[in-house]
Amino acid sequence: MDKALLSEIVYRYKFPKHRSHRAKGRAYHAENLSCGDIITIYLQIEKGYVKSASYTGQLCSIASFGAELLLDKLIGQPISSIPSSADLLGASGASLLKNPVRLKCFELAQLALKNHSPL
Amino acid sequence: MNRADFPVLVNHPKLVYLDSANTTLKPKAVIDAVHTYYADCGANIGRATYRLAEQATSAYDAARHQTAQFIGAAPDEIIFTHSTTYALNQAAWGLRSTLKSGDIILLSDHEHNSNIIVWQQLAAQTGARLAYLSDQPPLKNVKILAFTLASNITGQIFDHSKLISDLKKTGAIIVIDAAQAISKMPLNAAQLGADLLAFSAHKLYAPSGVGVLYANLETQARLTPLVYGSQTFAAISRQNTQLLSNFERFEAGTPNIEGALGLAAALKYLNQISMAKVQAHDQALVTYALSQLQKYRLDQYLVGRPRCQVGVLSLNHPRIHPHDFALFLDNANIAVRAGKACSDILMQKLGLGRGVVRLSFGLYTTKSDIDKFIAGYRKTMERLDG
Repeated sequence: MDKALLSEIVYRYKFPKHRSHRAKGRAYHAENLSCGDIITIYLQIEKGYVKSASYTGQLCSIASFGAELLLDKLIGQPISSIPSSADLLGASGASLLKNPVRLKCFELAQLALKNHSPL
Repeated sequence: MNRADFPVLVNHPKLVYLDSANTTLKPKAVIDAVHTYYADCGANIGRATYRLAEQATSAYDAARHQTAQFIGAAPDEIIFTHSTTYALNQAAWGLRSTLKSGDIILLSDHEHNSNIIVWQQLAAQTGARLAYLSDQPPLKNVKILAFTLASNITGQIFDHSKLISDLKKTGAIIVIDAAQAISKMPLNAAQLGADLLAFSAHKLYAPSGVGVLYANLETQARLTPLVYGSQTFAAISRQNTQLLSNFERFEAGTPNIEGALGLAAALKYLNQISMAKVQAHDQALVTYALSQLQKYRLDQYLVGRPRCQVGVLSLNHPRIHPHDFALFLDNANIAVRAGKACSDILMQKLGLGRGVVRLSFGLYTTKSDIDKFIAGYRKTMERLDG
């Protein structure tokens, strides 16, 4: 994996912006049965827009990174506008986008919002 | 052992390959054997009568002989399949008619998913009950015992000789999964008490797509084929087919010829080294790895502490995800398996929902590889847990 991307992953893993135990809003849950990772995303939605967001869970660094980038983009946007992995990662994420096994980790947060009704 | 024999290691000189329990790298002799078949022969076996076809048939028969010899068996006790999983499926479904409601299929608690799921399915369809050794079921109802000879997680070698001896007296059938053990030590199927024994070529330095089911003749006679097709019958009419009575009735269709020839080349390669030396190499690596893990206090993360094991070790760190270790190790050119390694039931029992980091050794593994792994593991801990 690209070293700059790896450094960014480690940074967000050690200093997450959105990881929080203060659960506010609707909860969306997903898990990766193959590795046991779980995530719960909490969204406060007003008039269809995401006002605030946070997540909890047991996640590997790439799954955490996926949640961090997703919530970076989603806050302030319509709930219907879930970005794609390519949108989230941009050109610097090419080495991750080409790795289908780890991309599944990255997309766990997206999966929680896309495939699951709020808890 | 000569790393130069393995083209992948020549082409990737910095690679530290510690995933041999997943699949082994192939020596040049094996790759050459596959290439030679395609370049110099290319014919199908057992059908045509021209010289190239006879050459292919003869080489394929020789591969069966070599495979039999490798596990102390007779050639007609060897059934070529596509994988260990396929071999276990042939074993299980082939025994379907021998089971009835109330019978017990007994498994160990250390099985690979492939030696669990098929038995679950068989139990569901026959009314038999699946039990694990830790359940301590009554032996009188056990009709099949299926277990792995060496764990793909802890490396533990299992000696169930007393249980096998007791079960043999009641007529139970013994099925051994030798997928991990086959490349690590000299094996004799009959001496192990196996009625059926399965392994894959690809874990034995040979190509993927070839599996082996050893079936002693007594058990073979009770076994129903899993698939039907060409080259399996003595006579055929519009309504009926009389199947052959020997191993050939289990090998319908054109087999993986090049894979079997690759297996023969791998067995020749191993025999030239000698399995005793292979085992000694593996054990020396285990001893060294354990001492180094202890030296750096990483032994606290070891999963299981078997007294007797093959070169497979797993680590579980309480905070760092196995996949994160794998990611950082990969960036240091160190290939390991991370996750549940197809052992979900054992992971559930051990409470390891996210799995483990597994390092496993092969002929080409060196002490330096183990040093690099430990350095990489420690560096990952510093970066993510520091």
